[in-house]
Amino acid sequence: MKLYRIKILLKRHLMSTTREFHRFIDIIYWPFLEIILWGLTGVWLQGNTEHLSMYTTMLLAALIFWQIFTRAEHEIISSLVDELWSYNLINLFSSPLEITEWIISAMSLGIIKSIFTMVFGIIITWSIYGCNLTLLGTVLFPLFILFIISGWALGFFMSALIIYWSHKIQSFIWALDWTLAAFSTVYYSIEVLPSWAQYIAYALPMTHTFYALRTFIQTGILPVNAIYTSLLLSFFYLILSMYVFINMFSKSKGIGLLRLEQE
Amino acid sequence: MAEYALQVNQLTKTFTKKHWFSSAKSSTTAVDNISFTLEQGEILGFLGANGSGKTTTIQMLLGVMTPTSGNILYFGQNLSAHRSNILQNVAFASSYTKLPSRLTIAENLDFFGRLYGLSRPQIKERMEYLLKFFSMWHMKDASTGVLSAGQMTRVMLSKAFMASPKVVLLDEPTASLDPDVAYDVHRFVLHQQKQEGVSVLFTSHNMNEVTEICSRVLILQSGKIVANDTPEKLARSVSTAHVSLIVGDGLKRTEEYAKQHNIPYEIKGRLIELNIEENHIARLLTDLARINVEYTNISIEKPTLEDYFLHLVRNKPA
Repeated sequence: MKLYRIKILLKRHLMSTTREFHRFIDIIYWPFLEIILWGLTGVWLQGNTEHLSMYTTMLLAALIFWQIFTRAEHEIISSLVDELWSYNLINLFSSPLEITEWIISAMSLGIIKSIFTMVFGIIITWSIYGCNLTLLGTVLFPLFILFIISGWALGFFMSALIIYWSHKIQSFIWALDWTLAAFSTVYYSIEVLPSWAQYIAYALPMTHTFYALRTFIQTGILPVNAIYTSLLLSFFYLILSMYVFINMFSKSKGIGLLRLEQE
Repeated sequence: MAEYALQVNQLTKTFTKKHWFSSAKSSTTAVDNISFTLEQGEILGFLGANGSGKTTTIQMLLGVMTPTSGNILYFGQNLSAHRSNILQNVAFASSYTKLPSRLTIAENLDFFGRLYGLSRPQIKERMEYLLKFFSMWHMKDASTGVLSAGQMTRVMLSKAFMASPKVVLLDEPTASLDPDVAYDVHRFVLHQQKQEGVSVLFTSHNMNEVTEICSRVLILQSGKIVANDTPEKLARSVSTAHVSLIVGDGLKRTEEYAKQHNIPYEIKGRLIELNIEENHIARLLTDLARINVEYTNISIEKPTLEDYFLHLVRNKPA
C-alpha cells in the first residue's frame, strides 16, 4: 500500500468537489434545508421561540448527526459512481492502485466532508435557533466517530451492489437511505416504533447512538452501554460490508469491469 | 531464455450465465485457450472482428477481468500475484475510456503521473514533452469535458505514456483521429519503441497502419488465435490480387469473360476491377488480348493484410 496514491486520489476528489455545483448542494443545501424545516417544525410545536425546548435541541442535534452519517455513506458511494460517470474506472483499476488504497481514500473523504457538514450544521443551528451544540463538549467526538463508522458500513454495502450491478441499482440505494432513517430513530424514540420494527431498530448501530445522544441531552450522562453496543455493531457491519464489497469487486472482475462503464 | 515483455499462456475466458428459476446454466467462451508472447521492444498488432474476443483479452491483460484459466506474465512475473508492481510498468489507452471532465488536461495528467509515483519535476517535464508532441500543450488548462474525440484520444495517449511504461496496450488509438494526427501517433509509437524500447500491443481496424507499424500480427477469431506472423507473410498467403483495367473497347466482353471464369469483378464507368489468383494474371491478359479487349491503363495490386483479414472473416467456419 502506498500513501502517495491515497493522497492523490483524495486530492482529486476534493478538487472535483470544488468544481461541481451539485457537490456543494449535497454538503450545504440539503443539510441546511433539513435543519430549517425540522428546526422550524420543532419551534412551532413547542410554541415558544425564545428558548428552545430540550426536544427541539435533540431533534436538531440528531439531524446534524444524521447528515454526518449520510455524508460518510454517500462519499463512499460517490467515490465509485464518479469514476463510472467519468468512464474512468478502467483507467484507475488498470493502474497500480490497489483496492485497499481506494477504500482508505474514500473513507478519508467521508471524514473530511463530514467534519465540514458538522461544523456547517452547528453554525447554522446556532445562528438561526441560538442552539449551541458545542456545549455537548467532548461527547460530540465519540458520537461523530460512531456515525462515521456506521455511514462507511452502509456506503460499502451500497458500493458492493454498484460495483456488480452498476447504475441500475441507484434508485434502490436512495430508497434504502430513507428506510433506514425510519428504523434508526433519528426523529423519535424507539418506543414509537411497532414492536416488530423495534427488533430491526435494535440491530442498527445508529439507533443506539441516537439513544445515547438523546439521553445525554436529557440527563447530562452518556449511557456507556449504548455507546459500546453501537461501537460493536458499527465495527461488525463495517467489517462485514468491506468483506462484501471486496468480494463483489472480485466477482465483478470475473465478468470484467469494462461493462460497468458501458451499461 | 530471453524474457518476454508479455507472455500469455493458455488464456481462457468463459462466461457462465445462471438462469432464474431453474438450475440450467449456459456458457460462452469468449477467449479460448490462447497463448502468445510480446517481445521486448516489439509492436504487436492484435486484430479481430467485433466479438472476436479482443476486448476481453485486453481486459484480462490489464487486470480488470479475471481469467477462467491460464496465466499472464509480464517480464516473467505473474499478473495475478504481482498486480500492483507489474501495472507500475504497464499502461493503456483506449477510445472507450475517458477522464474526469471537471479537471483540466494538466490536472488529469498530474493525477496519473502521481498515481504512478512520478515526482513533480518528472511530471512537469513529461507532460510538456507529451502535450507538445501531440499539439495539445496550448490546451493544457482546458477541462477534458470540452475536448473533441480526437483531442481526447491524444490526451489518453499522453496519459498512457506519462510514466514511461515498458509495455503499452493501445486499443484503437487512432480511431477518431485525422490522418495527419494519426501519422503523428504512428511516428510517436515507433519512436517510443526504438528509443525507449517500449513494447506495444496495438489493436486497430485500419490494416494499413497495422502493416506500417507492427512487426508481427495476431488475429483472433471466435476467441482463438488463427494467425500469428508478420503482416507481409500473412498478406502473401492470400493469392488473390486486384487487377484494374481502364477499358477503351471491349468492356462487355471483359465482363462476360469474368462471369464465365467465375472471377469476382466490379465495374465503375470504364474501369473494371477483377480479383484474381496471382498465377492466373498472365492467362487473363493473354485471353483479353485474344478477344480483342483494348485497355488504356492497367494496375495490379498485390494482396494486403486487409485481404488476408477479409479472407479469414469471410471463410469463417459456421
